[in-house]
Amino acid sequence: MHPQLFCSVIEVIANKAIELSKSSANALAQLSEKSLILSLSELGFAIQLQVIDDKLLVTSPKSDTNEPPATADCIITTSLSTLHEIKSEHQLTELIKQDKLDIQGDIKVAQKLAALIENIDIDWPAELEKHIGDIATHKLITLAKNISHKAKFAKKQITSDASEYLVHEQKLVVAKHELSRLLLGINESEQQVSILEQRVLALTNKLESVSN
Amino acid sequence: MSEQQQNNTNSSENQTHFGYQTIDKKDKESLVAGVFHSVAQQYDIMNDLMSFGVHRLWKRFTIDASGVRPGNNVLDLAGGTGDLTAKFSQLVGKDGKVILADINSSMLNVGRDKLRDKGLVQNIEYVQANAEYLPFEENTFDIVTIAFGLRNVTNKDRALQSIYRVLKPGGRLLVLEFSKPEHELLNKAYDFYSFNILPKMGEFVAKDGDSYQYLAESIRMHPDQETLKTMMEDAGFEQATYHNLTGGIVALHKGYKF
Ligand SMILES: C[S@@+](CC[C@H](N)C(=O)[O-])C[C@H]1O[C@@H](n2cnc3c(N)ncnc32)[C@H](O)[C@@H]1O
Repeated sequence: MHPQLFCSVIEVIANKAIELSKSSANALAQLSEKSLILSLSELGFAIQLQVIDDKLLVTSPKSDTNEPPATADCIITTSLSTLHEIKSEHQLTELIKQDKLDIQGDIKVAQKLAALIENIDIDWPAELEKHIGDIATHKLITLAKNISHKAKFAKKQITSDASEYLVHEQKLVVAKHELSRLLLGINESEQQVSILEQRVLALTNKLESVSN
Repeated sequence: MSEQQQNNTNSSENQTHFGYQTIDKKDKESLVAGVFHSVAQQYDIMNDLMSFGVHRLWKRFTIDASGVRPGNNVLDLAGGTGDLTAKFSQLVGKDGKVILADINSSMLNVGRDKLRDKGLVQNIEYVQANAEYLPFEENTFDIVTIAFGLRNVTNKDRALQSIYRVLKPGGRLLVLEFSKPEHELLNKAYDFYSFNILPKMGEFVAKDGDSYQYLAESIRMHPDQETLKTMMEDAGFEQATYHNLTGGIVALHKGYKF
């Protein structure tokens, strides 16, 4: 059921954004009763977008073999990576030639939808004000600015501190040659210990033979 | 056949299930009616609570699988508070029509108010009807759905035949209903949830534990995936298939009339 979950999340977010965005009403009205099917190879299912009564409906039509496939004013079959590649209209023909993109129907529908999404502009302070009142909004925005200011400062501080620590710590860090000298010392002491051990052993043997 | 045996046959013919109880068939309708009159006002909230909101995805799956097109005639049978009707109404557009049919006037009223509040008025009709005796002409609908309704119907075979009759050739039936979880562990967890938690939730939120106890019992008594598929085929449906959702807690059956 992940297509349904995906579609319902997109539908809720998109409609909320459209509702809050001042410039969307006009753009949406131009798309009234229009529909678009987008098949992205990475997703493995198609998404149908339909504009009905000022709302964007997002579904994932699934046709059985004995049913005609879902239709729309514009059907786009492509991949997410190709969508990223599209920066200008000139590229479209090139991508179509390379079989990376297939567009059936009215491309204006796709263009208008893309414009609608790109132009969503939400006046966040005004929206917050409706829910929590103007004083709280003012406080919240000042707080947010403060936090972001502090965060920026902290980030700068941490970066400069970090480089300082590195300089200081370098003095404390054991260098390679110091380490190898230490290891050499340990080896020497080990040899001396084993010589001593042998001497002690010889002396105890002597002592035993004398007492016998 | 002995008199005793004859009595038994007669009594089993005239009897049916109401949850785990065996009752006279003639009483089931009014008992079910009692349940839904009682839960109607809290029905939507309880649905969200009981299924953690997942019923919305099950219903979306049903819509997506229905192949609905602008201009279609849709019957949302046992449609209750009209979740499916709302979506269908948008998708069939002004050239199409959706009929929300339910046996229960309280559920229909809640549904009608809800859909009106959403501004959905132009292409929806409300009909109080029993699924077993649909008051529509033959070959009327492109799509019939029955979501979480069939298990409450007294004579399911008769309801399936009645649906078959009102479908157009090429039309399809979609049955969304609780079914049998595919894994034993899930089955046990689900049992515990349905019989221990669900009625308590019903008691707490809707002040009606008994109705939710009935719901849990009726779910267990409902035919499993394969049985329902066979029942659909027996009623005349072709290419009957089903799709398990949420591990088989729910299944969507689909069949065509050709
Ligand atoms: C659990 S509700 C489902 C409502 C809705 N379809 C949904 O999915 O939310 C079951 C509905 O079936 C209705 N019902 C029960 N028996 C029926 C029958 N014989 N004919 C039509 N509707 C019936 C009830 O009144 C109730 O509204």
